[in-house]
Amino acid sequence: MIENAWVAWLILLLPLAAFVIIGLLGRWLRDGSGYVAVAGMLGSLVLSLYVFVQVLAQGALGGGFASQTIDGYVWLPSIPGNEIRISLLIDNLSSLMLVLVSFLCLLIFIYSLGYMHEEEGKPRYYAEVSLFATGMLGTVSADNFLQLLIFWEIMGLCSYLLIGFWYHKPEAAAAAKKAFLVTRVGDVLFLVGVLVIWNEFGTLRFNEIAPRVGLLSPQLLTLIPLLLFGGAVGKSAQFPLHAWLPDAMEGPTTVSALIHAATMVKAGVYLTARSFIFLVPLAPGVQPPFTAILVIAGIGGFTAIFAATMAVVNNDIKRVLAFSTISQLAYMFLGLGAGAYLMATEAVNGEPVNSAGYSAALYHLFNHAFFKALLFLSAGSVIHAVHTNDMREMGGLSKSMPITSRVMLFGSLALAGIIPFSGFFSKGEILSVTFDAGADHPGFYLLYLLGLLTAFLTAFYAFRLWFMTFHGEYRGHDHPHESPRVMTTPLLILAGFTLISGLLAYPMQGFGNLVFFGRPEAGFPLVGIPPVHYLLEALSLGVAGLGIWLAWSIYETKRIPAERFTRAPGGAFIHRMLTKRYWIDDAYDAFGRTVVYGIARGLDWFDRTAIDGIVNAVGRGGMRVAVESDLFDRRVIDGAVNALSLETVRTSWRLRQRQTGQVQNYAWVVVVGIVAVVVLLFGFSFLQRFLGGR
Amino acid sequence: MEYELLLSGALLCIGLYGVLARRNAIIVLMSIEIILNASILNFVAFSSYSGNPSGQIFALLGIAVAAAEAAVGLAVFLSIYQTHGSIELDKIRFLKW
Repeated sequence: MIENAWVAWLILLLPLAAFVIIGLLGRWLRDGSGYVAVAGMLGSLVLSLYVFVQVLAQGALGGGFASQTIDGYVWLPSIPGNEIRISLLIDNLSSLMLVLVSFLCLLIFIYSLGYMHEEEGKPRYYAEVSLFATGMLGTVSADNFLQLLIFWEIMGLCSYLLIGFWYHKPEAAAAAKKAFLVTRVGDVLFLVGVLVIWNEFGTLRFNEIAPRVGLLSPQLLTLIPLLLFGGAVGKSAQFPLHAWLPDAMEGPTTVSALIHAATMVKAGVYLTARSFIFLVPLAPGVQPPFTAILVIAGIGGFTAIFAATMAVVNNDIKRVLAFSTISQLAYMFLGLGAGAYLMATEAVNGEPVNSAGYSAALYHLFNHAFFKALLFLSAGSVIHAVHTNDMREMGGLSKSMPITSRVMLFGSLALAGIIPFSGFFSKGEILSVTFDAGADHPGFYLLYLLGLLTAFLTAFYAFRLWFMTFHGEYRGHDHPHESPRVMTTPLLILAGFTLISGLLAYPMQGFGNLVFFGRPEAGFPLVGIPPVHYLLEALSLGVAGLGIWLAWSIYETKRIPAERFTRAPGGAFIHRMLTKRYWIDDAYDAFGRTVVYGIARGLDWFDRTAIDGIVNAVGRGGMRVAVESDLFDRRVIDGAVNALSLETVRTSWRLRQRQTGQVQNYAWVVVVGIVAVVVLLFGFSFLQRFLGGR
Repeated sequence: MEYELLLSGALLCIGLYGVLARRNAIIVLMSIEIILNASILNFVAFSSYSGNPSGQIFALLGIAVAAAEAAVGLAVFLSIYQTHGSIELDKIRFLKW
């Protein structure tokens, strides 16, 4: 049991508090908002470490600790045991992720203090990244799929907001929209998956679902992980939903480093790792969903080489890294898929299962988070100095930016997978596991070849980037200088971690120990592995070296001119295809223009004719009634009123005619009246006398 | 007695004719005086017939009123003549609507 487990809530709430404070008081805080965000993140890191150290001491190194759920309040009440709670799951994987995320967030926030120094709207930036940190920390610590989805969407929102941070730039606004819409496709699949899970199990908590997976029908057991993987494909920018990530580079570089390299895009891998409870149901007599596993591994293997080829030809320093991120994420999915296939086969055969693939993928996630954040932040440092993203306008920067050039070399070596940098260990393990899985399904040999080729391309484009940026002659027009200490210090720390994070597996008695759910097991990298694995490791190291040599001879010594590849018609076509990103973005655009727009036009026609027709008919009916009522009003009601008034006027007119103003007329009237009175009086008394006389 | 009353009635009729038929304001005023005198003649006649002297007192009062009335009337006509240049009654219609 973890002592003071309630502090885990504060890990989430501190960045949230920073978001609220900066959001409400940002106008008064101004530059201080950055320090509020850093303070919130620092608190999260300290508490995450507090939790992690306890988990480590009791679980990974001590044995006996599986997981602990920290129950929060009941969000959706239902019959007891069936309600949906907001609660946290603390196990090996989530506590490690909490530390990883809060540590990287802290470093990148500190770096932002320098990088975003001259930007407008700093409070907005810090409020949004703080909310993002809440989202990511919540995603990795959620104990059920719904809560995970909620925090997942918070991240999506923040990603949208931060890609569009320079919203007055049309490209940034379009990129933000694209990122939001493309990931939405995956999120809908994820949501459907969550609904299916709820429908089947009546609960969404990982720990309650895991023992009951055996009750599912084989079809659903295949469908559910694929739906969840659909969400992962969108979030982690895998083929065919990869198109948003390169465009997302329109945001600030710190955002690219934080969201689009180190944390958010990893959430897809994390989700797939969590869905291992479906992929490898460790219950007797259950057939694992091999189809789903093959789909995951296949998409991983294909996307790895697919994205790496596009990174080779790009000249935008951030886009190269973005394609590289897609490619490296694909490695993780390949590792998860291959590992799941191995585990599932072993479980079916009744052998003890081996978590090598699972731990290798998460090992790569861990390492990649550090070295890719480092690469992005170094790229940000370079962009900060030369004010352009185009590598053709850089070059020779190692003289003016010694620290940045050296840390970026560290990052590139880790990305290329050169021993003893971290990328070597995890990438090698993933490839070894993929090769092992080939014994069970020959398709994995093909995926291994793709992975090996990707390793070659990775080394090539990483060093192409490095040589183009830091070596040769300076081709720009600025006067670059080294970035301030507040930016270089996080770079140096991360550079240290590109070395340490790979080697950390040794004191931890194997990385699998740290992450595998339920059954920790030891396995040191490069220790006690079959001899063929040493061969495989050497092979991947060899192709990485080959890639670096090729980049060196093309871009440093120019012994091989780059034009040789593009001059031949075939080469020119491939170059064009790669710069056009296999025309997939164009195809999506065309799809949107023709099909979606066509459907929209059809619906618009339906709307205009049918719906509008009904509405207009109702409107016209109303008009008709109104006209009639108006006429009645005018003719009858107004007529009566007008007639009355008109008659009054006319009568008064006639009466007025009698007022001639001539005194003699009045005198006439008086005389006639008197005569009449006299006549009447006398006539009356005469009559009276005449009648009363008898 | 009958002669006085007949004279009085004749004077009334003459006065009425003057008031109603003539257009000249002066003549109308004179006709009104005639009507007043007809009534004063009545007072005197009935006073001597009944032996009650208060009728004679009313007659004197009536003569005084008639004199005042003639003065006021002439002043009004003079003022009308000065502003309108005519005292033809059919041309004077201030009281018209």
